[in-house]
Amino acid sequence: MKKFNVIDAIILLVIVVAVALVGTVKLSGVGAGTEADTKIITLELAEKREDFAENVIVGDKVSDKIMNTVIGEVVDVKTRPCEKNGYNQETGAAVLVKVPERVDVFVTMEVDADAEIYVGKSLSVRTKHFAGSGYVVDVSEKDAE
Amino acid sequence: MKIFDDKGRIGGKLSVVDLFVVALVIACIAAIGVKLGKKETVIGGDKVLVYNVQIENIREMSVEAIKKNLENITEATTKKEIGDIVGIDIKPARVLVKKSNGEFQFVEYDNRYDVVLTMKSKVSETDDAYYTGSGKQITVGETISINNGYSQAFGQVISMGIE
Repeated sequence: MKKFNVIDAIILLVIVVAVALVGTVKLSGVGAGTEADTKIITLELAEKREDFAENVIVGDKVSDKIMNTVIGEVVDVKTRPCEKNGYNQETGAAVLVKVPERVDVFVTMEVDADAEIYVGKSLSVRTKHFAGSGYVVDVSEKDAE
Repeated sequence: MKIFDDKGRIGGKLSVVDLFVVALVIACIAAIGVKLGKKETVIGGDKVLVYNVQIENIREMSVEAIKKNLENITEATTKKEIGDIVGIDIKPARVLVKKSNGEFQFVEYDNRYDVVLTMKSKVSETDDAYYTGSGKQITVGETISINNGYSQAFGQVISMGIE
């Protein structure tokens, strides 16, 4: 049987280094995506408790609650007082009224550019710290941010 | 007894280069294993999550039934244990109503109650979630169904934190 010599060792070393390099690149995510691979969407979660937005944390991964797959990452969150269209029965006028103790939460996420997410689409999401359902109110290219 | 022979081999078979290569291979495999392991392994499993579950607009008999047993609470759908109730906050039920001028206002009912249960569960923490032993993910905004043997009720997680 042929003995293991120095040349064999060098070949083996080159293979091991190559495998280690490929593994490191894959695991570190280098080259795993570019700016053009993603888009920015905003999901409106209406009529939430005033402290709800504290649980929307930038950097959290976002999963589609129905499909149970990761769709993106939280990049921003904003709130505004919750308002609804109403009707004043005394005057007959349409009114825009605030809902006390409730806010509308706008969660901005970075998702895959190919994701079939459009303005008006209903989306149920879940992260490590919150879950909620709402409508997509904005879709834009990442560069436009 | 000499460890190395004249050609620098151990026992006439393994050379220093061979040993170096073997060590390198083992180191590389170990490094990749550690890195992959970090991605897949559940972090912990012995953490305690404290969270508040709000059950809205229930009658007094339901409140009394909840108070009868605070331990070994099960999740109603899976019938698996999720933890204990460590606090109960009972207040008159507040319901949002629309007034004749179109404005909204909270009103309180004397005979209905909003109950906030403070619960403790042992959870496993991953990069993306907290899971109870039953596999239920606990997160704010999620509806949870609880059963204490006397009462079954649905509530919403309104806050949470690791103890």
